[in-house]
Amino acid sequence: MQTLGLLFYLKAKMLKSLLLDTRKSYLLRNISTGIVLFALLYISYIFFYNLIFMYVSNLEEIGSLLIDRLVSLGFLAFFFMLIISSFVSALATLFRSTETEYLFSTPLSDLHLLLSKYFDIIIYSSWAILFMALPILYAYAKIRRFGTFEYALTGFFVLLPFILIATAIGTVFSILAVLISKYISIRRLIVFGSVVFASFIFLVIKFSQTNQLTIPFTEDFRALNIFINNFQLNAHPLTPNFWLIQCLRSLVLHEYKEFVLYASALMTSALFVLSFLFMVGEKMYFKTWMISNEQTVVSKKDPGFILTQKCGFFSRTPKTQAQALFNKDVLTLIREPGQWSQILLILALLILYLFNLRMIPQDITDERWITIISIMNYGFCGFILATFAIRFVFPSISLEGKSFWVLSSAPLSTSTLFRVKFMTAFVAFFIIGETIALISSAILKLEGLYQLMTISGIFLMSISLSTLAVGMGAAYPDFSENNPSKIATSPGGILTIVLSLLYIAVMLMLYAVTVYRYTLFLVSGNEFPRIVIISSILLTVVLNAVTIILPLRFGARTLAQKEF
Amino acid sequence: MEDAMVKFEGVSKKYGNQKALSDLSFQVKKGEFFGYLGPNGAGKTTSIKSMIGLIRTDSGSIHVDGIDVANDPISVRSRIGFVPDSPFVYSKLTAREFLRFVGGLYHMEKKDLEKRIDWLSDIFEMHGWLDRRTEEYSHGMKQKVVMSAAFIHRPELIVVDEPTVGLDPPSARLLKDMLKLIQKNGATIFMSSHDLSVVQELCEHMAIIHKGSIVAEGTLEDLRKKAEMEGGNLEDLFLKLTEKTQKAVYLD
Repeated sequence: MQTLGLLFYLKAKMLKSLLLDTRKSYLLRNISTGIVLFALLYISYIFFYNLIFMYVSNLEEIGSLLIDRLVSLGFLAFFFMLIISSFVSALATLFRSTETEYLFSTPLSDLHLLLSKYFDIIIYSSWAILFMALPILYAYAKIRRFGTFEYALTGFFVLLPFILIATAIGTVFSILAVLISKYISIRRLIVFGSVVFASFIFLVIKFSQTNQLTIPFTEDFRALNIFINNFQLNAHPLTPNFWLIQCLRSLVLHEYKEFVLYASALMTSALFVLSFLFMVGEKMYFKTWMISNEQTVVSKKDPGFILTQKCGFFSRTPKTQAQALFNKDVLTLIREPGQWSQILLILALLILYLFNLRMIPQDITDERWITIISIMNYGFCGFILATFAIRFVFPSISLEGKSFWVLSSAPLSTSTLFRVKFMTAFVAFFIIGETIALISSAILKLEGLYQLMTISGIFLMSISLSTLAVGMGAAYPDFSENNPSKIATSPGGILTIVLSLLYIAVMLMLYAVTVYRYTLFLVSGNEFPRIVIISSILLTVVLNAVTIILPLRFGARTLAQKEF
Repeated sequence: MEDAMVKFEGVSKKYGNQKALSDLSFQVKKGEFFGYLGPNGAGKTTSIKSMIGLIRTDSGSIHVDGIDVANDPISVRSRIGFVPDSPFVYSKLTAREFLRFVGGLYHMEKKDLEKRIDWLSDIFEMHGWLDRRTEEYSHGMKQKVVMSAAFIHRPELIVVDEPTVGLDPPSARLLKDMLKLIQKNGATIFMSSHDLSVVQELCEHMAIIHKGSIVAEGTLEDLRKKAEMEGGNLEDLFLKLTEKTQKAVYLD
């Protein structure tokens, strides 16, 4: 126990030296990052409070129900994101961290080592998600007029066990995955994973179809509600997001018995999952760490390697610097199984989204609902692109890692490096973004201005989100880290997430104002909104010019000043 | 025509309050095999990185083949083949892919590049490993890949930082022969090393850096005169010039 205490003491010391570094440049960096993050948290809160919850709460009869539903849906998404990110963090922290070998050679027990690592996993995997979740939770609490007591109850008895459940599940999965990898080759594991994924998508689609609407007001409300349902699996009474929203609801209604019931469900589930994790860890952590070490002796049978060797396209002799960089980036991406699993996951969610779009009733005629649905679709497309940008483009400079000396000692200009990183991301984003935009427009039967704005908006987002991620990735590189998830959740990554979300929010607002006024023109015979459309286009151009130019300049300047 | 391949003139560099380079001046002639010596923290790596433009100096100037590094680092880099002290290469690429990538960065012609890859893999005995990912390689094998990458574009100046670390004796011998051969063909070699026997064996001209400044420069004979020593090997000279005395070793 003394050694475990020493480990936590060292962690606290390292955190203290990181946060309270009194050297001028570090102090300035920490203070400015703190101010920016706080401001962004506050802006996000204002966005959710004023623009969403206040608006929705004014919808008579269904307002509060919709707010609960939105929060429940948001936390369901956070729950899955937490599981995935803790799974990935656990693989890196438990099995790939360089200190682990040394710690196993000390008299520290396996359980204590796991405990100390699990603490890191919670921090790494949850802080980015908390950054997104806290403004929503705070806006919810504000609109429901929570007092200090309710805040304390929510923080300790609701949010904490919610995070513990998800991160413990992710960590257990990572241990089991390494254990399984001993018996199943990586190729089979990928096939197996794909089958599980396909089954999961099939079940979700099947599940959603039975989950029809519960608010029988009008045909269009039904449509809206189904649309909202597309984002969630279901508010099943045995899911943590259901317990979470029931806790919040009971606090609003001052039904403390209900609160105790659902908070107990969260707490006992957290305790159960933690006990299971520690049991699995005590028995298997060292064993799985050995397995993972043995696997570092790589096999020639890796599917990504075989594929690229057989194809040979990206291994050929490059004619230009740009081609050399592009080939290297593609080969590295294809041969990294960790990257593929994440790409597959996001693509699976995309397919799920498109399948669910098909469930929207085909007979929606009211332009106002078409407008709302098209706005939500536009926002979702932007969100998907932002996710790709943060996860794959932002870490791309950092992932050059300790091999960055090859680039920095070569006659290569920063502009060529940026151009290649940007073009690679842009082409992928363009294909993915426009495919979703075209398919979703076709499914939602969006025509004319709606379709034009969606397609051109996604095109601009593909460019701006790529440059934002490339520029910020260069401005905040971490060459010592080789885990893209950790790079994406570094302070620079978080800043990029927030800036991307802000960019999408402004693009969404410009889109919403334009299509709303256009809809009024179609429905009520108002004057054609020429000025609104022109202003919106001008503002969009300015916003995108700023988002393209500033981060790239910032990144290039920082990278040029950096000493290697 | 400029006679010096590398010229440091009054170069200074500080990290916070700590001086890394202090009014550093020396030059390396074209075609020379130059040894750069100094104890840990003397400023060797800082000067090498400044020469390639990876570090900005506070004052002074560095010229490589007559080109100011601060003004045109890209031209300078195209003339240099750099071998860092730690051989980090892209672990997911094979040696062949890595060498093609480096050739692409240096604008090499396809035919010439393929010929060079074949020649280097032959010299460094990498044939069986050329199409395997570098993550499978030993430290020594990675070092060979990094050396090949440094030589592939026929640089006029080879900058080598601690070249023999981690190499087995046959590989170290091979490297020394390779460096001699490349120098014979007209290239300049700038070698920083802790291995004094290697420097003594290979370098015709050397400089000892201590606390960011050159304390002695010239041939082995020049250094002996400077240290007022008759005979003695480079290690004795080095210790005398850098004021290092051997600490007594004792058991508790």
